[in-house]
Amino acid sequence: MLIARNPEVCAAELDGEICLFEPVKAEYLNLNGTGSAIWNLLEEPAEVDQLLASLQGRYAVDPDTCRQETEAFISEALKSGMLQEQPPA
Amino acid sequence: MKRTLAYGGFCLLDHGVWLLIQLLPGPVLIGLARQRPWQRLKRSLPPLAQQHWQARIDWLLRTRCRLAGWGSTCLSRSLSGRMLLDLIGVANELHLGMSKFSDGRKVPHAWLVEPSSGRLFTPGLTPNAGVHLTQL
Repeated sequence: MLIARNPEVCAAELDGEICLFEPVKAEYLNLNGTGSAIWNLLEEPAEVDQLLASLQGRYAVDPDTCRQETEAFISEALKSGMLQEQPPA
Repeated sequence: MKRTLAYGGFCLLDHGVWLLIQLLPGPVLIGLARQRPWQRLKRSLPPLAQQHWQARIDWLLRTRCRLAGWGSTCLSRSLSGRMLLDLIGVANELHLGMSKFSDGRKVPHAWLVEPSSGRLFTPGLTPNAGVHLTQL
């Protein structure tokens, strides 16, 4: 499954971190550093493994922590509707 | 005297809107802010009268934003201002964003703008301490 941004969500960067607003449910979300990095990588829909690879390429982080935090963020974001799953094209 | 009464009335409206914000779920609230069902009650005023009323509403909003206390938020003030401005047919846009306090806390902010001139009805973001997210 590809992970993609929900196109309805409004996003803006404040202080190096991303702020999101979900206009259907009227929910705000402030991402932390990890979340912002992942959001920025999701310019194009991507697989989780691709995300992990580019995160590890960009930041000095050990693979386990990276996988754990990424998966935690993605499941949260899918639940709140900020990200959505997309069948591969 | 008239002003005091008008201000009192506006405080009640503001407070009512605040209560609605507390009680209604987000999706209903944003639907109301988008669709503005009160627009059905719109009065068509001659331009001069409209300007006159707009100046009064302007004063109400300014004063309320200056004196606002318990039970009033940026969103309740902007929404009640939006109601009044819609009633006299003045175009207005509700902007939503995220503002940042000097201690680093990030807090959502709402403000009301006149779309053509960009004039603010209620105070907007402090420069360099917030971002604009969307408008309704």
